[in-house]
Amino acid sequence: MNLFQYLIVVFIIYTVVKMSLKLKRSVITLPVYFIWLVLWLSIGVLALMPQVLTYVAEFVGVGRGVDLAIYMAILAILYVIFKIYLRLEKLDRNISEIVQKVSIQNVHKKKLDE
Amino acid sequence: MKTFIVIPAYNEEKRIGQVIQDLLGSGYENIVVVNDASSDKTDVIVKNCAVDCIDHIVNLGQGASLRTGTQYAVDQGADVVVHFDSDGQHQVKDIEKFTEKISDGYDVVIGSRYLGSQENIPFSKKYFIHKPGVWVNWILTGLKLTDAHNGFRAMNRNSAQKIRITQDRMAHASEIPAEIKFHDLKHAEVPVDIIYHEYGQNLRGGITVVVDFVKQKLIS
Repeated sequence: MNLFQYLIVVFIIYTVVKMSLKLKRSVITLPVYFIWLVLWLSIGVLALMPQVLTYVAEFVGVGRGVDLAIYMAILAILYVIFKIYLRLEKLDRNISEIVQKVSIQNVHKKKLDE
Repeated sequence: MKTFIVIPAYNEEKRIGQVIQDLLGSGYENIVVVNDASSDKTDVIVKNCAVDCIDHIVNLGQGASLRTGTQYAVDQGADVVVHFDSDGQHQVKDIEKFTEKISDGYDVVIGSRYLGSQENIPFSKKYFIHKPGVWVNWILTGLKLTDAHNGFRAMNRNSAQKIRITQDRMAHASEIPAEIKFHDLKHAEVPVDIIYHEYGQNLRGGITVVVDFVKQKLIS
């Protein structure tokens, strides 16, 4: 095992322990915990056995394992950005709606003596 | 026929007072100003006039202000809702042309700078903003008008309830023709004269409008 692999394993153990603590304190739900657990464990497996990734990469026709990992990572990041973008738009709309409702309720009526 | 004038205002302390006085002087009694979280004295000036004033707590944009104002006007029993600018660009004498068309049975009436005398429209605005705007609107909304992004418009009660302005910022001006087409509303254009001040929609603003509108179509 090289230094990079040691670092990754330590980092994954650290993250999984933190996540488990969060689960215990009910900060995150069980399904979310499992999704991340599977993700981190697969990263660990790939780091320790890069040949697996190379095998998958050859299977899908990309060639190099690292390239496949980078492509997947970019796709994942784009997806997350898109999700955040949609969420922000929704938030924006909700804020507009609240501001508008409140503003109409607090209308400053014209003075009738003028 | 109860006509309601909706005026969106954002930092218009210099002109809003005069605009309101002109409207009141011409006999328009039902006026609502939507103060879009101005940082100047717009709200103080408006609240001293014989008009209703709605304050947005945070700045939402012109589209949102029009939505708030239109909603309020409908709640107050308006038969006709007129969108009017707060910066003195629009002329009070033109309002009659809109309300007459509505009385004639049109659902929505839109002002056009290109049906009238076309005086004093700056060259750059005409050929780089309005004309391309007309084409972009035509392609995006399917409604061919002689002017794009003219904020002077009127609608009857039924249309005011139907037309949904979802764009908070400037792209609502493209959204309204799209809604007219969608709800198959009877529309007409009337010539209006616009007085240009030093600011308004520049080229970058025009591009932002298109981007906002396309974005909206993609995600909803």
